[in-house]
Amino acid sequence: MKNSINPQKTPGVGTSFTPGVESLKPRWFGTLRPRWLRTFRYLVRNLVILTLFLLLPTPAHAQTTSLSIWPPLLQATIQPGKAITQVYRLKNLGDDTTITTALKSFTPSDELGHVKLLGSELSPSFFSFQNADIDSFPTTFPLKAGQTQELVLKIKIPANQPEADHYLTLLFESNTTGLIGGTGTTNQATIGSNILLTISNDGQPLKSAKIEEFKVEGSELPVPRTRDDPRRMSRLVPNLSKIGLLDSFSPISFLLRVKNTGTTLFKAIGQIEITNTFKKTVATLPLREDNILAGSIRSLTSEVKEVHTSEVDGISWSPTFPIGLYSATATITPQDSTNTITSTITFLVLPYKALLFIFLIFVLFRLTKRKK
Amino acid sequence: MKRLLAKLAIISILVTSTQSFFLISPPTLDSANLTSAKDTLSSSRLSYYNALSAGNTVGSTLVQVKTSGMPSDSTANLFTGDSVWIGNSITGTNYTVDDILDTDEFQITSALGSGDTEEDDLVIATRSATHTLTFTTATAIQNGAIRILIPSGANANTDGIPNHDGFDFNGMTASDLTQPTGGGVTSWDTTNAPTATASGGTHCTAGNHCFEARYNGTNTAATALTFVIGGTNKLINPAKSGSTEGSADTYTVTIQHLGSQTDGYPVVDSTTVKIAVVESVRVTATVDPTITFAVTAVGIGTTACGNPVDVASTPTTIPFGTLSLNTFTDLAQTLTISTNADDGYAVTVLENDQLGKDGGTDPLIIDAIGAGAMTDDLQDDWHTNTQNGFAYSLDNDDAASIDFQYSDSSGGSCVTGTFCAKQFPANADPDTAERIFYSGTVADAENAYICYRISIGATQEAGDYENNITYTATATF
Repeated sequence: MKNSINPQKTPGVGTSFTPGVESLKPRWFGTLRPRWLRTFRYLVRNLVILTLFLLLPTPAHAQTTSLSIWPPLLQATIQPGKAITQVYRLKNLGDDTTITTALKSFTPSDELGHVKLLGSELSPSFFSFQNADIDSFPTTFPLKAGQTQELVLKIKIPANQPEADHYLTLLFESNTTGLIGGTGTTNQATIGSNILLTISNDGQPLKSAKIEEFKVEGSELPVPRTRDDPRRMSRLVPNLSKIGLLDSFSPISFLLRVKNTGTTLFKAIGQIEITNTFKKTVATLPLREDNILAGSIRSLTSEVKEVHTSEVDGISWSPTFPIGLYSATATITPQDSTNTITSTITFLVLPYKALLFIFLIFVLFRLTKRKK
Repeated sequence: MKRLLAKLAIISILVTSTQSFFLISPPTLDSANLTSAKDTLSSSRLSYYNALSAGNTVGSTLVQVKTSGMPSDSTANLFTGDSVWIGNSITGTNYTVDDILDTDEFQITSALGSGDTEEDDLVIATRSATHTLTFTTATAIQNGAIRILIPSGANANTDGIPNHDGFDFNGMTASDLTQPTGGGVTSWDTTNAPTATASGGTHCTAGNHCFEARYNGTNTAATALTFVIGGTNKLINPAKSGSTEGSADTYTVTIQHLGSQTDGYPVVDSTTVKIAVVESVRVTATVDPTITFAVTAVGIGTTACGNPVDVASTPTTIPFGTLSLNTFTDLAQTLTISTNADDGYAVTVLENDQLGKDGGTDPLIIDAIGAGAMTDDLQDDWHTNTQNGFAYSLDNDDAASIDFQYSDSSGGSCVTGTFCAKQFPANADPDTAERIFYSGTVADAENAYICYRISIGATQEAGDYENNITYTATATF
């Protein structure tokens, strides 16, 4: 039956063969061309296309909303009547998106340096973008995947603006279009760069601080109490109840909370110096120079020297088997001032858990022996 | 005449013979060089000696220094963390260098005090070093001594302030010396030696500081000895002597092996070594601080917050789709953050309002209350699907700190550890954004799942319910 097929009676099949070319081929080849060759050519063509797709893949765009901002923090002191500019670099590491900028005031949300966004308190006229193609606040502009946009922010303070601190966050909100098609939620990724602005005539506003709390974290010396005199031991040994009791085998950490009692922010510069029973300095713990905003309290942390993968809040000291009475003196100086403040605490370090364990073993041993 | 000539000939022969004898067998030389001699400094950094230029003010942390006319005429050789003394002959204060700004300005960690800001006030950073001298003696000497001479400079070489032409004595005493040991001697004198004598002191001529170690008995010739100069107190390295920045200043140290005490300690053997002091090289590089925040989708079947995800999310939407009555529907997204800012970051969440029909305000799919106590501030268990509403939980991957997790069995009102959840804070209520995770230091792609859960009851009015949730990442200030 195959030999009876006439290719010329099947339009559209074998159209790439011209009669002249066909005439040069073996007779049997021409008679097999319509179905066999069509299938073969179809398979080869698809295989080539598939191979090309595999060898030359198009760039993949991950399904991500991702923004990167530089710098994450701007700290500036400006005289009334003066202006500064700062370049911000915003990069879209996700899909094509539209960016909306906003400027909001913030207050500290906790004692760790995190922000709680409020409505803007400064006149928007203080702030403007100098880019020719970007309007001032609030402004919206497209940002393609992989694109970086530089924004030049100008901060101009009116001449009659009173001296004060202003804490703001410059927000960049990604508004990638999303369809829900039913019940659901749309969401935006927003990235913020904080601005710590001090308006000052002489550039040297008064800075003052107070140590709100300084203590060793952990158990306190248990004060024996009687029905007649609940603080008897405390009276016998002055300030005994204020002495912290720590175990020699447990980590020693300090809580140091410093309050900014002035009207302008400062960096807290200082350290904790630890002396042993013989008044010899055994350790000096440098503190990270954290910003403390006006009127707020910040829990200071150890200076970080290396990259850590875990939380580093707090101040820790890791001596080798400490034992005895120790004193720790915290010294803090607001940067650009000489108003140094100090606070000293005393704590007792004993291997009391081990001693208690040995005592219990001893008692059990004696009891067991007595029964026998 | 003949007899006279004969006598002259005999005398000539005798003289020539004697001369020949001395030429063939010369007497042993009394003085020789010590060998393998070297002086190793624990720090070869030059000291810093400059002065304030005009324009410094009390209360400022910016220090401006001179660029000519002083041994150190720039900020080269100053480093972050160095202790510098600033002051004059009346008053002075120690400060710590915070940063080097340029060739004539640097920052200190605390403000300049009164009396420390006048032009020509000195700016000094001392660099002390222990000198370890090793050498091999050449001669066996009975009851001898070893003496080291280190250049002192001409003036004020004992005041603890660096000089530009030699080492400052810096109050060294015998306790700062470690005299040689061994060497074949009977004993090294520990009663009257070692001694440290400043330039111009007793038996120490001006121009060098003198350090001596004496011994009893006779040393072995060709024995290696070590003399360490520097303990609690150390000699202060000189400041720049005026040579080109980056080129070393060289000084000559003399090592002497002295004869016996009864002869008045004459110099028997002597050798000199050169030591070089140079500025350290300041290497700087700037890494811009950045913060990067990403939201990514989570596909069906992925386990987040202990449950397989029912519907795939996208980076911008949480499409619950058509909901079944009294049935939990779970979705999730991944939040990822990186920052090289020292103080770390925080991520907060805020919804515009509760889920409203067609995005309106009535009717609502209310925020869930879980077992009864859940709010946007307080987490509570939510594992009964007839407790209807909308809420979220968290599943930490590697974020430094997270405010709560789905598996918590304590904190807030959570006790079961099954699905501990919170309401989203709503801007319309009005609530403030709630922190969900954070770090107090740099972070490298730290991420956590945010898990969305919804359940509706039979009385929920039909329709599409929508709201909007904003995640905000900010660096710690």
